[in-house]
Amino acid sequence: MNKSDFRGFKQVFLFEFYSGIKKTGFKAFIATLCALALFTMPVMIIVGKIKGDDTSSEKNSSKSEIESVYVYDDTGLSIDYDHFNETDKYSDVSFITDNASSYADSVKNLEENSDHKDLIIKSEYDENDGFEVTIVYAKESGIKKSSLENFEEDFRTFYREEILGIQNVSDEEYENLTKDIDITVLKQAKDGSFAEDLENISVSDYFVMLSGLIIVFMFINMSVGNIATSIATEKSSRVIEFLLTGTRPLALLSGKIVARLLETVITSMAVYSCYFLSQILCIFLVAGDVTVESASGNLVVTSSIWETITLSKMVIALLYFLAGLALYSIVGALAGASVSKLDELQDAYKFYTFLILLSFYCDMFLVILMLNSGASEAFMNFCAIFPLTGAFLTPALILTGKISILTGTISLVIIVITAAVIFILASAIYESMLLFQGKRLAVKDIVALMKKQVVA
Amino acid sequence: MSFEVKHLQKKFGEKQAVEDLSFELKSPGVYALLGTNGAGKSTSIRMMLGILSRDHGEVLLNGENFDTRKVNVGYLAEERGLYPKYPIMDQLLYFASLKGLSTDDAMERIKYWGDRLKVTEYLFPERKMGKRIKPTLADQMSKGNQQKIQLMAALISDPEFLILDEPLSGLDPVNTDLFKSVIHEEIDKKKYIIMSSHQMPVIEEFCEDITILNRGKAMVQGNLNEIKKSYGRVNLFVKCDEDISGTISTLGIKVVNDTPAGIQLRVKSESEAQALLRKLSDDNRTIVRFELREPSLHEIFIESVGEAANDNTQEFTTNIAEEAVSE
Repeated sequence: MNKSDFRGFKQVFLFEFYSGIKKTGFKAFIATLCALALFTMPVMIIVGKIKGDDTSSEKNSSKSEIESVYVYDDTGLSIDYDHFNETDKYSDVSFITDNASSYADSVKNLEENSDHKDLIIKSEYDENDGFEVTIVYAKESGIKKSSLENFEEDFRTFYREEILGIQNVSDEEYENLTKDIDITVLKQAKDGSFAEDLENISVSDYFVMLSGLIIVFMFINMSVGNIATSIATEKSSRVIEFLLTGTRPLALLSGKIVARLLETVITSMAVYSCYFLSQILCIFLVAGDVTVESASGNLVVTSSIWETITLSKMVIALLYFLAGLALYSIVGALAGASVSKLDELQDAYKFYTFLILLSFYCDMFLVILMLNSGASEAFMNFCAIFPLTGAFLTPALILTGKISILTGTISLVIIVITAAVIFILASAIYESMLLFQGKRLAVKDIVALMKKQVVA
Repeated sequence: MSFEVKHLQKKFGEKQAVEDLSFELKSPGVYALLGTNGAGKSTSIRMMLGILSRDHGEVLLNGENFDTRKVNVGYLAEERGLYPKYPIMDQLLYFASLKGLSTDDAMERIKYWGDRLKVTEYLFPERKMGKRIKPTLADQMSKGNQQKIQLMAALISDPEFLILDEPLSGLDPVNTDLFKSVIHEEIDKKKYIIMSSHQMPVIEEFCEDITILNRGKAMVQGNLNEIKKSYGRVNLFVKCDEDISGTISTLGIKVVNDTPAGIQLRVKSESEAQALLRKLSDDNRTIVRFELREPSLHEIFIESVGEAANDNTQEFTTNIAEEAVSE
């Protein structure tokens, strides 16, 4: 491999890049991702706001629309429902505790007399499960869902206060009793230092990592598909023979890969810019509006993940992502070069698809393990360091701090070396494969070819 | 400038695709490689261009290794190829850039060759009724026009060295004449041209020096006129008003072909032809035609390749990849 082997690299790169970004598929892909990044959060907030407006209007209304509540209390506690009537909102609600009919009959009656806005409440106590309160209402009663949600919230507060009152527990004592107890487990690392056990992840982390995994999978799959198709097209249309008089196979291969990498960087930047704009938009939507507090929860969660990202993490993750993309692109190029006709490409793609899916599922398995029971450190390190699996997940593991910067750097070095070795091996046989016209080369043929070219 | 091919060899598995091919182009002109399908013409060309590695031998230009990265070479491959779904203008600009041309120079050449080969309407489509111009894609063109685009690609860098692999195959008579005129122009510009074909009249029209290949081996090689001379004037065409078959058989002359236009004979020497002429004259036959001439290239080709050609029509579809795999 020498400098002249890369003659024509610039021309190949420019042609591939410009023809790549002109493709309708690329435009649709980037537009879809940008739209998702730009609108998902604001839409969630707007939907939450509409819902919140509805709930708050009910919350702020002076009177509840509920007319009567039939109470069946099997807890044995003396709950005074008159206290519930003390608030202005529920002052008109009748609590009927001395029911002559059974709970089952009342429920039946509720169905028959659905023109009243009535509820039935059944309270039970179980030693294991605690208090269980069931609220029943007729579908045809016309009680708004928001009214019911407000009632549920207020009844829970009322019931808690009643129980505490019966048990003679003061508000202060209750506050102390219900305060969170935060336990941090420190794990001793091999170097003797203690660090927080980070093998488990939160639900929000899980969704971020899963989304990242799927997005990287999409990028890699699209980029590799483009390279394989491009090479197979050049072979099947026989244009390759003409190209090889002006350039060399290595220049063709590297020009295509770099073009795809640049497309991916542009797409990522466009998507991230849209996400950034979306965050600004969200801030405007949230600002000074308490009703969207719950709806903006996701925004806060996602933002807290971004807060842990440092420049060094971002750089390593980005480089790792590009190296992973390059690694899979070389494999895709070999798949494209192994066929003589474009319609054979799907067949040649089987091995590649198997490889990519196996690695992807392996990473997905790790993420699920991290959410549920906590993945073993060995498995997490394997997925992060092994280049085929690392290509999908390691950038997310680096960004979320699930692996240290040192592990991330080691993984990066390993994937770069692997990609370089695969590139050298591929370049040794690529020329032969490019001119090959005949039946599709199987993986064992490519390996045999590689051995011959490299050993000879 | 001199172009030399020395002892070129290539084996695909057990098949000897090219065996010790050597020739030299000392001055501008056209050198022809002839042969049946699978004789090794395209393999030899690919080795010369460095597209295919060679087992042995060297290709030299002015005594130095011939490198297509350093020499301006135009190549019209036997297997014509364009990107089917890409605009032809983009493709031509790309091919030109690979040959080191700037966009402006490339556009100028594209305009010239577009006019010359009558494909301007595809390269510069006119706006119709204010509608947006859609560039022409390769697969929207006829095969003949695609071939013109490929010839343009080969000539766009005004190469000093041209390799034309079966340049006229598949063309209609009008386009054949157009391509021929372009090739004549390139010859007039003192270009070095290597042409492969199995259309003998085309070779006779353009080439001074030839190599006839059979199973990768050079069967006949050298200056075409000298080759013809070496065969001697042994082809005799005779037409008389009377039946002369008896006279021919009496003299023991071999009949090659007997048609209403005349009888084609193969004589051993010119004296045998003179003997026949004397006999016909003595017998008072009315001689309409009596022509003694050298063999045509077609006849030399058939004689050189002979019966072997029948077994040799299978294309070598294997290449070094298959060779490696088979081992």
